[in-house]
Amino acid sequence: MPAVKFNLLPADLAPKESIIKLSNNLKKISVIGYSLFIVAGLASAAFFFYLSNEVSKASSTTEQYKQSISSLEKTEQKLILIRDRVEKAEKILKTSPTEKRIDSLKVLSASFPDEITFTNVEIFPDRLDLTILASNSQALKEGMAELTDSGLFKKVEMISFGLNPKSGYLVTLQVF
Amino acid sequence: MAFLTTGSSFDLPPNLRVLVVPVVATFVLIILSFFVMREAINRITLTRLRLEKTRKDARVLQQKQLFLQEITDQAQVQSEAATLALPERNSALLTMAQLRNLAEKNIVSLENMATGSQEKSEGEVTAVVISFDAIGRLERVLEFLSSIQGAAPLARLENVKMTQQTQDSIIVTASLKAYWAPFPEQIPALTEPVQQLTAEEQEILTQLLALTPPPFFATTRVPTIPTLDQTQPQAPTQRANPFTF
Repeated sequence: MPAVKFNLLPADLAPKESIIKLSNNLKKISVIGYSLFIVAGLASAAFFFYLSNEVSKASSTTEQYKQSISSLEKTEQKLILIRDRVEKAEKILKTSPTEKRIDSLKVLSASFPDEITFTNVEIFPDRLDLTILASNSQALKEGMAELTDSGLFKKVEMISFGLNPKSGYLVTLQVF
Repeated sequence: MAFLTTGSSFDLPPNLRVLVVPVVATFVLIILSFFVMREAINRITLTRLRLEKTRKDARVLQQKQLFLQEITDQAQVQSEAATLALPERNSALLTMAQLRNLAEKNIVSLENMATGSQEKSEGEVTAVVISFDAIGRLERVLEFLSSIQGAAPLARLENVKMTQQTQDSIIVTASLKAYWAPFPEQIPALTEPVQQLTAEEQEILTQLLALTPPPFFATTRVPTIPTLDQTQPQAPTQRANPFTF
């Protein structure tokens, strides 16, 4: 014979059916939630310990490299020294127009005819002042042709032109 | 209306009584989850960041170690050449010696050589002016002047004036700026990666390496930045007797 449930309490003291359902559902959710909470907590702790272990491994590797690099400190110092010297030398090397003028003058003096001599040369950063003495007009013509055809200078200005019957043509030029 | 009539806080209405425990349990779960998970996420994030940084440092250090091991010999030669090109102290004497050497090589006579005042150039570079007269054949003198730019220490010609002295010789009155600069005093942190030279800087270094050193300068000294312990005074030590055979 199946058990029969008796409820002798007054009807207004018993909770409603829907409330009991809600309560049961909430209980189920709580149980599932607590279970998930414990699982997630354990997983987080495990992951945290794994990461901490990896950090200590990486730190130990880093320390080994640091020790190794400390023994190569002199090489590193030399590299820094090289970089420093190069940076400072760069500024000096960039300011060398005089040397370029000297090189141009070397080329010019080698290509000039033997009858032409430099009597006075002044080298400035932006120009070259030349005074040349040509013993004859042919040499002067060849010299001027060399000067203009060499491509070494952007502009040639004749400042003075003189003729001495004994020594020859004396020409003062400014080349840029 | 029993809840209101009895006046006891424990006499909850049946509907509410059934819900109290699950609601409180759910509420506690939510609060607990929020705080615990927030802390866990924070810690894990921080540790991950630490791990990434440590691994990155390790990679940088490994590359730095390999690079430094590779270039040890090369750095020795290059630092010597660079130091000769731009010395730490006043380079006037070295430059004057170099001038005499170059003049001798080019069969040019040097006269009236004198040093002037020091002047600060850009940055920490300092220059001293050396004036001189050079006498010789034009092509020799030009070769001599040209060779100055290819010699160490770095020097730059200024105010060059040539006048014909005799039929075969000319006299050059010129001044030369010789440069030097103090060594750097700090090195970057150990974990900083090695900064390699750019192509332009490499070209400058090649130029410095090509400079002719003064002939008497034995390039055996290793120029290094003095470390703190090297600059500290040290107690006298027992030296070996060099006259014992």
